[in-house]
Amino acid sequence: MQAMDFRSDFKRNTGRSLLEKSAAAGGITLALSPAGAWAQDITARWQQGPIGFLLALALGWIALVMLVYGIRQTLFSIQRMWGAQRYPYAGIEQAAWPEVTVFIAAHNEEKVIADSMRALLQTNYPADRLKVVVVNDRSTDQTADIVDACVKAHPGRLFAFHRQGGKPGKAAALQDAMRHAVGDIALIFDADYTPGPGLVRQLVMPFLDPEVGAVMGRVVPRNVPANLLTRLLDMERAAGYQVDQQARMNLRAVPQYGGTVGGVRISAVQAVGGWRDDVLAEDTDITIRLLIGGWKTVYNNDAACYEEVPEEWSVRLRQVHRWAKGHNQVLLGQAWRLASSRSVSLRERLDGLLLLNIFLMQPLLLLGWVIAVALYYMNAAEALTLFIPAALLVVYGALGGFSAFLQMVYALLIDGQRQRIRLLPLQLLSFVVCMPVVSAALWASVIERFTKKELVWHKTSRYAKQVNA
Amino acid sequence: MNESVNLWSVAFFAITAVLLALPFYPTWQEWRHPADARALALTNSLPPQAPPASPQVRLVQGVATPPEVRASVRILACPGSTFQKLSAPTVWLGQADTERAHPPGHALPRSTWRPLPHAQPWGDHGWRIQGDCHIAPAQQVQGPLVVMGSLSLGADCVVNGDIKAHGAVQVGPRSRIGGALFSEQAIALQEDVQVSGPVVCEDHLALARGVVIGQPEQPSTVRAPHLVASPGAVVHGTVWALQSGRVA
Repeated sequence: MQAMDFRSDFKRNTGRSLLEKSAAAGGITLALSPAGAWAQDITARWQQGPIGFLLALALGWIALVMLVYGIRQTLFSIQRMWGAQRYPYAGIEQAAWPEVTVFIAAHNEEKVIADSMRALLQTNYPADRLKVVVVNDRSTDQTADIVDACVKAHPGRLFAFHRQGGKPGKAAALQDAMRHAVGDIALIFDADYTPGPGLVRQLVMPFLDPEVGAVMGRVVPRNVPANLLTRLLDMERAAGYQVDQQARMNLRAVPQYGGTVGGVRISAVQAVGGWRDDVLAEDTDITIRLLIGGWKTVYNNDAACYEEVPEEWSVRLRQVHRWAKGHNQVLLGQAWRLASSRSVSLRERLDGLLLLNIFLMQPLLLLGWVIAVALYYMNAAEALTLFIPAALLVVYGALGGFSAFLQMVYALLIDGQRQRIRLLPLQLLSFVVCMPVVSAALWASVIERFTKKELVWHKTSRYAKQVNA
Repeated sequence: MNESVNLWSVAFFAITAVLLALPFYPTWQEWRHPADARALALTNSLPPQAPPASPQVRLVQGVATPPEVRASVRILACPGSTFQKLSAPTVWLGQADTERAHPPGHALPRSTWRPLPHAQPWGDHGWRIQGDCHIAPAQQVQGPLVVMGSLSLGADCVVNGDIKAHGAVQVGPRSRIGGALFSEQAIALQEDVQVSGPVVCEDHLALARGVVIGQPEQPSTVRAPHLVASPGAVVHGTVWALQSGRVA
């Protein structure tokens, strides 16, 4: 009966508050301010159905958060497309180049490790200031033999660090390998990356600035033609680097160190507590800790390097799950420290927090859909209008829903690959497929936060044909 | 009546379905018959540049300068000349003042700089300073130095290490910086300042007479959107004025 009244009341609603209407019915004259009337409306709605009220409130909040992210993504896209581009370190051709150690992280990488080592030996960085260390982390395939053969063929230029035990994971392996570093700068590559001759120099340039703690280059998929998934991932990577990272660099926000095709200042990492081997996303973790410590991360869009992207959906989903879980782990551990840090500007703090929360968006969106359906069946549409004004919905519809895809379009236009924009509608498929995986990762990271469960590492499959040293 | 309503419903759903499906036609085409599926070509694997053709180059006022000028021995940019990118072991801006290219040693007695109370230790024995920073003349400063505001360095100072300032930087006469100098705004180097590392700013760069950047045995880089050099400044390495470079 109450629901029937609610529906008929909804039909009659002409924008006036319930209280105004009841007052008018009783012949009473009330002079309420708009805020006062709204407060009265809220009280009335709460009394009519607290569950619907709370759900409507939650959905309004979700819409607002989504809108913030939509505006952020759109601003980044517009800035990248039409704004001033900033990379002050370009063109530092001559300098006293510092000593650098390049680490190649390898765990069962027999298919790709030889290519990676060969590429690094062809770099144009001064040979007397460069040390290349292959970190063979507990490999059980032919990686160790291939590495040893290559080290023997290039004495004094390549060094092998065979790690037989210890904690699993790249962060733990790097932590152990750091004692073999020379100089204060460590560049890190995964074994499936093949850097060009100028890449080391490009990545080192920003470290001449004493405020820079980490540098990140661009990652470009090499196996794009393999199948539909690799083509969709190529679009996603383009948006992430060409637009998102570069826009953050332009806006003096927080470019992210990605753990490979990049480097860190060792003294800066030590100053903020060193590598942590108990995190899944050591790259996000070190980006945020450096930021809190006052160090800058720099993104160099020209320092690009090929990588392999997953060719199977199962591998891709496992990768997304790991990223999301690792990211959320850093969120739970560092968000408050970042929010309260005094060394960080307001702009960096805001962008850093939005960056940390990025993997919460898909679970939130999913939750929003569930709540919307629930509210529909509860006939609580009018309660919803209390918290979601039409203007917010219109702006969200215009920006929020499409901002991620807008980034892809702009990235492909900048890269001169406009034909592949035609695949854009299929990104919806990828988005929907990843949604439950990211949501499951959120659940897992919350559970593991409380149960202190040991982290489990999954290695991403390689698809390249094996190359011998 | 019912049949008419049903027809309209069918028509409505058909039109909606077509409108939704239309964007998927080019998608389907691109998926099944890829026209654009190559990996992005990378540019950082370009071969190194060929050695410069001439040992010496002279730039004069009123003559258009190519975007990039290189020489194997030296470049002399005469007063009034404009340029973008110059690269040579020695780049004279204004005049070849060989006497002043190697200014006299700094024999002044210096006191060790005591950082401000709110400075925090930074990097290898350096300091990070919130806000502006003024360093009095004849101070010896152990870098690196990171200043969140503007930096003004007095005359005859020596900084051992790199400097970064978010604001403008002014370096007093005869001061010496044993590292790189970065600013997110403008930099002004006064007479006879020496900087051994790169000098990079994101606004205007002014080089006074007698400024020396880099060393013959260790060339360096100067980079700024706008650069104005007084006659008598010298750079060992590369000078890159992204938008405008001029010798006064």
